[in-house]
Amino acid sequence: MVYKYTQNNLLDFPEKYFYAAYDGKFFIKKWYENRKIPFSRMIDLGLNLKEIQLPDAFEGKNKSSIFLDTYLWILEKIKKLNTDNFVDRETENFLKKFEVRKKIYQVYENREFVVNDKCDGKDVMIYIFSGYLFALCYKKTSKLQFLNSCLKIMDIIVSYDQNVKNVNHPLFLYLLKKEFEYIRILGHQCLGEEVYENCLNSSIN
Amino acid sequence: MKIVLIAALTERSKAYAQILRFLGIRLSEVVIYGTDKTNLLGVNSEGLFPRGGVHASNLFVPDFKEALQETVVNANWSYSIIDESDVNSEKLLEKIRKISPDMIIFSGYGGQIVKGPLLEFPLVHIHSGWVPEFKGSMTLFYEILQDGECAASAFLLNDKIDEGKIIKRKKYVVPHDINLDYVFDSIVRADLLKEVVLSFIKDKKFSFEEIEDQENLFMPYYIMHPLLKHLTLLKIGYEHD
Repeated sequence: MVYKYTQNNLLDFPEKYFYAAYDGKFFIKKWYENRKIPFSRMIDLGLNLKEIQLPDAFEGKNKSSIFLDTYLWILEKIKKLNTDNFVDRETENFLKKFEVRKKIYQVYENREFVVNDKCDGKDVMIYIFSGYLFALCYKKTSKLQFLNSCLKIMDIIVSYDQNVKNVNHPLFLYLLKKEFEYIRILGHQCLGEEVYENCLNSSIN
Repeated sequence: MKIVLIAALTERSKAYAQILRFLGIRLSEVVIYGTDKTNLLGVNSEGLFPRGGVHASNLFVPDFKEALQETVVNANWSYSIIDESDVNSEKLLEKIRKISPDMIIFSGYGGQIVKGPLLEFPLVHIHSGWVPEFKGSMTLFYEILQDGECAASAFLLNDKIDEGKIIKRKKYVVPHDINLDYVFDSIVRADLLKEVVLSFIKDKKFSFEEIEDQENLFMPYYIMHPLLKHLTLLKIGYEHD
């Protein structure tokens, strides 16, 4: 039994998640095993979570004078979140556009996130940075919508990692760690600590 | 009083038709749209029926094995079939215009959005979530995951998603032995529909809940990731589909 949501490269074949089948507690284990693969690999490669220094991670990204550069927009929102502790409507709209289109584009026409025809939405790094933004939003607000989008973004990155090319990036490692942490907290709340931890350790037939 | 049911070929429509028949409601027309091959959400729930019986807190439990047309014919309701799956089709609109209903019970395919002239009619939609807090997709699951409870809301459709004038809202006991996607979702919606229709027939008009304008305070929900869905179902002790 495998975690089926990363079997195809989701940048090419977006996942809609309609009426997802129920696999019981084994699904939790399958998700966990799926994420442990890139996590363990990056740890083995010596990647260090302390290497992440935002906003330095954004340096070198091109500025666009006409269109909305998504990297710079994300950086702006992260800075604002860290100072204001407030998720604005624009960030909510960004999440909505991702949920509807299943893609995030490097550049948008404007702050309404109208898609630029020249972008293909296949830059895996933009998903990593967007995942970081949504993870931060979830940390600040506890709104499940942000965790939900974060999980979908993680599927996209892991699918790319598995099917196209290993993504060895400290921010990806950081996101995996945060995903484990947030789901563990939610799992403990929903199921109790013992049951949740048993799910992770249960054997899959 | 002219009451019309617009029905997609879904489990929800079966539940609506069966509870209305059970109550002896006289529908002016049932407009069935789409076909068995319609490639839209909510069509095929084969294999998702409750196992070992249903215990839904004294709610009306429909027989999902009974075809929609069977219920309609047995109830002696007039009905028409529109072989287009688009709820905004000209054919469907023309049909509704001819009837000019006082109330339309809307049971569409999942994810379909009613637009344009059809919205000029009083379309009652039952949403499985407490609005305005829980609007959007899979709110039955999100509400259970977040608050440990579930609800349904009835409102008149407008051009915004789940933001029409609220007729009635009701909380329900969270079940643990029923498929939530198709079965329990349909059961709670049908239960609230029952109350809305009976009130409408009694009062000959809609009554609305007075709530503060809070629509913009709440983010909509989107299709739930399977991991969150599993945590929700495990939380309520659901065994398996």
